[in-house]
Amino acid sequence: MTDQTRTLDVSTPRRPFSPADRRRLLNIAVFALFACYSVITLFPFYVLFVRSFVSTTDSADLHLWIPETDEVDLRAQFGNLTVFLNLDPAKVKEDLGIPANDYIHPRYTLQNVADKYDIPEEEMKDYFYKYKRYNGWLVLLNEQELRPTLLRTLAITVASLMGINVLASLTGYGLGGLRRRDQRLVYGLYLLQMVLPPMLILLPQYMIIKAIFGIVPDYDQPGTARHLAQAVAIIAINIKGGALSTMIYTAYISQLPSDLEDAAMVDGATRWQYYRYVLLPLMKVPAATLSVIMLPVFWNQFLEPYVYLDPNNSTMLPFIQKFAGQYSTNFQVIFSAILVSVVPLVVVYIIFRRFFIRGVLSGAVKG
Amino acid sequence: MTNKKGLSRRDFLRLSAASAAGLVAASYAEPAAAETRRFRSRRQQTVLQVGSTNPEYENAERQIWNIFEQEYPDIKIELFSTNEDQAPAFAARLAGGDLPAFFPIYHLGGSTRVTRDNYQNFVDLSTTDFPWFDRWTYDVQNAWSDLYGLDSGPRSLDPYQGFIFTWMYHRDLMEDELGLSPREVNTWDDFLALLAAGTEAVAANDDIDQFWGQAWHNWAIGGNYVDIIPMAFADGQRSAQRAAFENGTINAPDSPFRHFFEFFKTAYDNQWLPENFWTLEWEADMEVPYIAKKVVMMLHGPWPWDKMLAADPSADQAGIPATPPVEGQEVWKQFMGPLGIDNGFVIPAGNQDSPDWEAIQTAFAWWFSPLVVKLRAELEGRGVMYETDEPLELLGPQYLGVLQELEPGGVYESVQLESGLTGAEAVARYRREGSSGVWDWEAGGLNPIVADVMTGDMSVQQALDWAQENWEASYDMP
Repeated sequence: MTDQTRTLDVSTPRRPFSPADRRRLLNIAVFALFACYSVITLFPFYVLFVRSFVSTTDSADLHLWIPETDEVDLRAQFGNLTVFLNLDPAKVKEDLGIPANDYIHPRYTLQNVADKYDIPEEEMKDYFYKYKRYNGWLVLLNEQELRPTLLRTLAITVASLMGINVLASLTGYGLGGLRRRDQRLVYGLYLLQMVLPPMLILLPQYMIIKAIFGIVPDYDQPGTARHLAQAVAIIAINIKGGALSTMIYTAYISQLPSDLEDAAMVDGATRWQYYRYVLLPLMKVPAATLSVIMLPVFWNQFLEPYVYLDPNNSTMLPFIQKFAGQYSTNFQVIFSAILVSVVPLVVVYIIFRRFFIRGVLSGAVKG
Repeated sequence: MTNKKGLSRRDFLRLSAASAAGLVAASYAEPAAAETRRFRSRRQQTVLQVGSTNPEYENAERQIWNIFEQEYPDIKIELFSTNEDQAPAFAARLAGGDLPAFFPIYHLGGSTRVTRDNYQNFVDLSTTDFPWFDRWTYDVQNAWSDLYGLDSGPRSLDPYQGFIFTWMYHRDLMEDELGLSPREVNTWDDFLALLAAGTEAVAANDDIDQFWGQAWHNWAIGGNYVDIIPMAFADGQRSAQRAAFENGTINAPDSPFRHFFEFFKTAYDNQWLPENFWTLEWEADMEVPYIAKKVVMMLHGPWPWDKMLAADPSADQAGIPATPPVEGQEVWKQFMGPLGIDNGFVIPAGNQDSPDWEAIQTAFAWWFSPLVVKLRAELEGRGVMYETDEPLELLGPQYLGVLQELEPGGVYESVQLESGLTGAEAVARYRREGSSGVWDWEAGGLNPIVADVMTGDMSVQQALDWAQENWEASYDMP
């Protein structure tokens, strides 16, 4: 290095980081921050996944990975396994080649059963080992109702979201501006619903719905007509004028200048045309807001589906709930089922994230 | 469908509509086909919806009902279960007219009984074709009407003994790890010494968290513990408990229930109990740690014995009867919970008008036939108040671990099972509609009272005064 250079170095000291370096560092810091945030967000799902493999005997300890499972003890009682591992005796008998009509004393041990039916001990151990280690997932995946239940939940949720947005936007238009006394009165009546606990109206609502849908042919018989009517009942309850949806749409439409409607009317539009071609395209913000709020509400709905839907026509939460017993809970199955039920919700948010974010952000900018 | 800016509103709505239609079709397509098949078969078959004893036992009871379906191919049984969280919704369905064939009344909520308030909602079983009344070891046809003072036949049936709460423990932890000998406990003082020694030994043991595992459960504590603990004392027996209820002397100086509060207060002050145990959850904070062998001992009914065995078939469990006697109490009494006189299987009223009424009566009678009662008792591992044709093969762990020792030749052959009426049962006929009862356990009212007594914010006398007020508000005594 020359003297001239040294002189230059002293007079104009180099900054430790160039602008490009600073940008890079900032990017790394932001990336690290979001990476931490992602880990914190995803960690509960990971724990849920690990816990779906943790048996009750191991449940008092912290597990960051799936624990080892002891081999099956042939002293285990057949009845106890069916009760506490949620095994279907009919399937167990079929899998092990035991005649379906044979009654197995619930207190017989696996050794007794193996001896009686000439089942090799290793086969017996291997068969029950998988149910011991993967109990949650095997019980869940052997459940024939899982797939239709997932699809049914998705269908009811999508239909409810669409219905509530359409109805609430119409309500909002009707009450828009809250200029007249009657509009304010109706708006107040909608808001009054917020103070009514759902349990309070559960029975009268159930009887009304039952009377209405009782006119559907074959409603009193098990079958598709009954199941569809029940699903429609849930959708009707979900989309009926609620306080939140009315408030969101009414508040948003009230902000729009009345000139907009006047101009449309001057141009010869009908009210329906104004709603359809002018108002509806402006409703992305309330639609996104309401959808973001109501999606998990509809997806995780328990009370109404449990009351209105037959057990073999259920949605996810009542389906998961059935694995909780009176005296004991099979946490492995419940954790597995919760994971399965969460995945579609996450996928929906990922697919439509741009729509949701754009809607919410446009509201923020306008605000 | 999409453009550079993303999904348009119109496309989004179209996509959503198409998705919804597709999903609805997909979700109902397969069940529809299955239902059609089932519905066709149902034209020749009567389908009855029957409540299982408990959700846990649904699969195992399915095996028993399969025998019925072999005997009666024209009747198909669809089992359903309801746990505590689902009870209100089940009650709404029932009130709305969706009537199952029969179910245990506690499906409507753990504390629900057939009482003077609701008995007309259920069929009078003496009017049905039921052939097994004489099999009960007590007068089951009149027991309910005696209890509630009404002119009616039984509205619910249960063949079992009441639940028996005993101290249950891990023998390996208790004896090998801690060096204690519960089987040498013969008096209440011995028992208190065991609690003290066990708590001290556990404090020095890193692998065990608690000697006496305890959490809160409204029914277990308010409906059982309150009656159990006094039975160690000469003035706390069932007769004294009944007298307190009949005479309205819950808060008297010699109230038997004083012993419950005093014992728990002593235990809490000595740190024998977990801190703030009234805030702990029964299954997650008490049973699970026991199964994980972090807790040595619990005062519990029969089911966790089985839960433990299912989790670890090599588990070595034993028990001692609940209340070793205090000096002056001649006999060691073992609490047995109330018989299921008002707490068994019921047939909802309205079924008599159903075209399936004959089938319902057939299935109900079969469920209480001698062979089936034997199978059910062996499944649950519980004793019965019913004469079966063959002796029961009770191989349940609670029976093997402690109850068989109460039989002649057993370690506890001198211990007597107390199966008399409890105080609450004795005055059940006088209870006002919608009232809380003495301990208000159905609504969780006892919990804050116990909490206040434990923390010293309330005296035992104040707790008894609260119970006395509940008694006065709950009963119309003649």
